[in-house]
Amino acid sequence: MTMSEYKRQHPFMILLSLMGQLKSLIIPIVLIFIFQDQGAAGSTENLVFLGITIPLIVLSVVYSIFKWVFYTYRLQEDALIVKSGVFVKKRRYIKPERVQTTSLEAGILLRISGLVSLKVETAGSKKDAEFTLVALKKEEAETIKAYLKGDHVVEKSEETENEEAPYIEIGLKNLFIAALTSGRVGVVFFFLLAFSFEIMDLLPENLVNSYYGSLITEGMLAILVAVVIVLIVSWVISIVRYVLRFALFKVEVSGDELTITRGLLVKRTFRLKRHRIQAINITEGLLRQPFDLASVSCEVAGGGSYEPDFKVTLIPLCKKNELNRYLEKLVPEYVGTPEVTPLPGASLRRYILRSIIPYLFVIPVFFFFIESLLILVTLPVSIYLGILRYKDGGFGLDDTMLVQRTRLIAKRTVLAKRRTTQDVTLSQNILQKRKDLMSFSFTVMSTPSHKTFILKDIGSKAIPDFHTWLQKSTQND
Amino acid sequence: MTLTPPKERLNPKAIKAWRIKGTLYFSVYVILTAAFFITRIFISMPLEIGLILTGVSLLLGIIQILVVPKLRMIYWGYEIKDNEIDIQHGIIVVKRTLIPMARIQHVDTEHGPIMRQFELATLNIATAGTEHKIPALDFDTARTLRKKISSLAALSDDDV
Repeated sequence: MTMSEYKRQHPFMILLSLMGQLKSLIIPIVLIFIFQDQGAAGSTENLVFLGITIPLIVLSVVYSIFKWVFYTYRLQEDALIVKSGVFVKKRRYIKPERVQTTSLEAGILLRISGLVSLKVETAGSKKDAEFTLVALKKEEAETIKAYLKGDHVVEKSEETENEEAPYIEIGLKNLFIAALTSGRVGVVFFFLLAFSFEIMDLLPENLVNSYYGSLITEGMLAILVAVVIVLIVSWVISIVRYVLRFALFKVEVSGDELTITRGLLVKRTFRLKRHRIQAINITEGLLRQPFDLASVSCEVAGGGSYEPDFKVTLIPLCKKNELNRYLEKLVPEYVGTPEVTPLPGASLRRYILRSIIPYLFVIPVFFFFIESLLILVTLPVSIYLGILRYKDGGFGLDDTMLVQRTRLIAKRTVLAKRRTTQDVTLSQNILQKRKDLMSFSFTVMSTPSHKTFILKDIGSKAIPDFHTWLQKSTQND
Repeated sequence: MTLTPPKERLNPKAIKAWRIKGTLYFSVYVILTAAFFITRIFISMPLEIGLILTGVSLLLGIIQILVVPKLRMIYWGYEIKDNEIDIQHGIIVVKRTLIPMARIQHVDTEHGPIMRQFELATLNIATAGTEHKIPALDFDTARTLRKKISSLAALSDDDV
């Protein structure tokens, strides 16, 4: 590869930047429009509106062009240099050995124009850890990526590589099962509740009025019906969201690297070196567990921050008995989980108590707003969850791996290698001491910082000797 | 594995330092309580709130100045071994943490104005992501430990 002069990105960047600018201008412009409308709708008012809006837009255009002009990059022998900034000049050196991940992304606009954006994440402080070249020709992006991966001498042909690589795909059927059972209804549901008044405004007036009417005549029933309707709507929305995010999901394996592609409208590609995986998460959601289905994600050190929940999904859905086969392909290190020691009988009471205690606060609050103890209906469910949490809790240890099983709502099994365990903590409060119980937690790195996994109330006697376990770590790894 | 404290203790001078710190906090509560009573001259507010404030400040003061420092000293322990750092602390919740040497990213020492009066320093131990502290070591110990840990940890970053 020849070392190049300073280059600019594709001029398409101007359009992208401009759209970003306009997006942030929409709200002010709408506000101006609303306020001017309140006055007499004379021609002078329109002049004010245009007088503010047009210069703003012109400025955005000029700024976007300048931004493009001043954003240059250059591949050098030892580093990629990116210069940017119209007023405040910025120059950064990205050394290939500091690069954690590179990923190619393409939204609809980019895809139409045959371009891609290249996202690079480096080890380093959070704020400056990543940057994006937003509009590049595909070949150019591949060149830079290859350079940053450190193999700029050998130009590999991607096509043949992919043919040999083992890969995992989510089929159409699995995608829909996964979407139906994704258990993200809750998130959407609370989102809808939070914005319920705004949504009410959008509904036809007579519908809303007749609902308020029935609230008076039917009371509780009307509330229940409303809740059920909102639930169904949330479920549908969550299904659509899931399908958009995980359609065409594919993991390719080549050597030590996993390439994860997913997304229907915005196709996302994420490359990940195996040794950067810090822990594996096997999750069995409430809706999935009855069908023996599970999903697998992982905690990653450095990179992965494009994921909204900082988790990288490895397997969106699979049968539990196929799990090992998939793990064998993706992360063979993590196959062969140590045996799990369940929680001692003495901790059951504490788990049940913990599921009841929140009600001491929730009931008064609830009663204050609507004078009803209806919330008590959910108490048995909560206690049942508490019992499940107790039943599923457990941990195990073998020479190189730590396994911890817990449940909040979904059952989660975390596998961590000894070499990725940053610390191990045992804690005991006065009440636990009386029953000879302890809480056990360990920490692994996970972008953007770290994650601690806690398992409460394990029996003191069952606790293995972590001293020896961690000592081996120093010797072998 | 049990929660028997590791053998190294903090410097006993720390009790005094913590008491002074506690006194500083206490004076803040006193000022806040006084502020309430002064405001009460101008704006009518129920006396009960003032009494509660006084009670809470006194109670917190007693706990922070008289009770906590001593207990804290009793329950704090640490040990730097060749392969790991072992820290145990906590009064109501006793916490024992093991940090493998190989995971340690850097160590440093720091001391605030009060601690400096007593020639005490805090040792900060950072792994990738987490941070642990051993407070109230005399300057010499802190320096020795820092050197010891950084040589034992050999501070490489292979795993990350």
